[in-house]
Amino acid sequence: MLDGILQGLSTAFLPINLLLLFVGCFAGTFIGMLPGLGPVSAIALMIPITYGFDPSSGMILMAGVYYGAVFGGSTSAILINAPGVSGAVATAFDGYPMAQRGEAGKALALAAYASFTGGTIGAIFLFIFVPILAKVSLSFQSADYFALMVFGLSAITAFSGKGQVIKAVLMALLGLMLATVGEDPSGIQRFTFGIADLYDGISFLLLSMATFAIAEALMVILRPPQNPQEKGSSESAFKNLGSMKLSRDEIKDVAPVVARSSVLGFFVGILPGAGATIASFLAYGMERNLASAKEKLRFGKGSLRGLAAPETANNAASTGSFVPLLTLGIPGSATTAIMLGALLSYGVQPGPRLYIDYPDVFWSVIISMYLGNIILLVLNLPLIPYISKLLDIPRQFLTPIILFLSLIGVYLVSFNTVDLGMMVIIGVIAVVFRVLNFPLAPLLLGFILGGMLEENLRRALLISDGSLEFLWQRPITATIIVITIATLLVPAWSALKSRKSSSGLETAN
Amino acid sequence: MNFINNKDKVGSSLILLFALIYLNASFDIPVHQVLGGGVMTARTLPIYLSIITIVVCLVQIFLPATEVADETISDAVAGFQWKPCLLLTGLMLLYTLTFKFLGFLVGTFLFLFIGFAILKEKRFLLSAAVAGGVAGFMWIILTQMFDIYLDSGDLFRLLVEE
Repeated sequence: MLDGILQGLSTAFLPINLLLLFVGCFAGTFIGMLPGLGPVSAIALMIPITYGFDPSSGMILMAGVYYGAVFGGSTSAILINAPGVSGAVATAFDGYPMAQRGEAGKALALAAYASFTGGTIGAIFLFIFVPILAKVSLSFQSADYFALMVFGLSAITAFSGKGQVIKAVLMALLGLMLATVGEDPSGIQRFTFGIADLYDGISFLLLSMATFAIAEALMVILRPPQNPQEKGSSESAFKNLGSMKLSRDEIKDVAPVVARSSVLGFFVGILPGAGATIASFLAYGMERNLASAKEKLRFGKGSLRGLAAPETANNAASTGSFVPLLTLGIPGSATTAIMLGALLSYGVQPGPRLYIDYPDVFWSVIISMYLGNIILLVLNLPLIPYISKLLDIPRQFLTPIILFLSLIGVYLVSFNTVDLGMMVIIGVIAVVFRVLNFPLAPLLLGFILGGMLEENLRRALLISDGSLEFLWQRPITATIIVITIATLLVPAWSALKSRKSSSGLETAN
Repeated sequence: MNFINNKDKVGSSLILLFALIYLNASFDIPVHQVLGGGVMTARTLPIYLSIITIVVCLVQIFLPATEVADETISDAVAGFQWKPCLLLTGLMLLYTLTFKFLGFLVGTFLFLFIGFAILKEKRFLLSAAVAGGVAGFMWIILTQMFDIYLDSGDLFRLLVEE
């Protein structure tokens, strides 16, 4: 393990990788600031650029972009009440009121320190848990993997929010169906309809760029900014950032909040489908419940605790979400799904063997995550007043440039203009689903897990001679299946219960 | 609530339609000559997936829509700026169709310039400068730094040959 860590350290500290990490943090901060563009789009835009890189450098750049985007999302949430990412929604609850009363600098600094601490504690946990989990998962067989993938898909649907469960299940199924296009594991063409461009299936990059980057850019055009006062308030926040210093008492006040939220955020982040958004809301809720009656009143009006809790938790959860990816090869969120796609394109198979076969990639990614946090704190924070000026770039220039970068990104991988046409069509379909309020992250997860799920199911069925007994023969498989059923049944049961109660109310009315 | 104005029902109906077409196409997947009688053929997963999807879609469609206060499709699309969105979508398709003919530089310049104009940018000189700058910058980065070949296009070759 020590050899691996040293190898990872030497890779992460290569000047080119440090530069990539800095560029990634900077680019991610900018992209994350733009409302409508989150870490998923930011990372998707980076994939074509990193194709020529070695896996470690590519992943380091993406890790930087990820953290930068999360940080950038919080910045726009604080300055203009427009969270660039969903994980920063809770940050705006108290961050924006602070900016409004002239404490934008303090809010940004606290967000940065809280993110840094959350990331640090998350990275420490990652160091401890990932090698242990990786060792445990070495004993996993195809039946366990199949069960784990089904669990991953069911968890993302279960965490998808009120009224979204069935829609998330449908989108995951749609993703699984799209994954079957192309050559199957035995070499038979499926759903290609004689079109040569479909023989290799739908490209993951194409799907992710279409559903996130293109669809988001089109949604920004469709839905003009709702709050015309935003610009005015952002300008005043930029001009009057105020002091970036926190007093000793303030630090003392938020320290326990940061510690609690880090632990909560990390473990919520590990759960497939939960991620930074749920972690930030849970941390915010937990701190409000723990606060004294007097402090409780400050929540939503610029409370330091209310800002520190979600900021810490979302960063710790971002770190935690790498655990299932690095140890099991199963992404727990749309962002890590994109990273999984990138790793596969480099010829690196994430999972328990990653720790043994590619120690440099494994450890350099973990170390870079921590370095990314340091860069964000040391370099990005002082640059915030300047980076935030980029928010002033007129939307009429920015949107076509984003569309162009998305198109050219896919073209540079396949050099096929048919892919571009397909991407535009899928982007339009994604916009339709967005308007209909169907979540797109489960689609991407279903798509990325589809191939692996089929392969493991096939293998498990071959081993068990076609019998479904493999689902309960091994204790690990049986346990995961039971958890999966429970994960699916609990929200379904509560959804049915709320439907019954609301239909009862309607009848009463 | 009107069925065709309910986001959940319309979305599920669209997926149901897709699943039905997918199921139909699943039966056309050839079964491997040697492994045809195996435990899992190339058809197995697609057929099961489409059946599960159809069942879930039907559940969603036939479950009563209780959230009366929920946003309808007409509410959701109220105030949408359809025209620039459709024009930009058309522009993207045009860009992909003319890419080989116009080449990277000319195609990208035109795409960006027209894109800015669609989004009501009236400062055409600035638009041209930004479009040219972005196209040129990307061309230099990709061809000179990353050593990627970008076709100059049939139009350029036609003009040069003449």
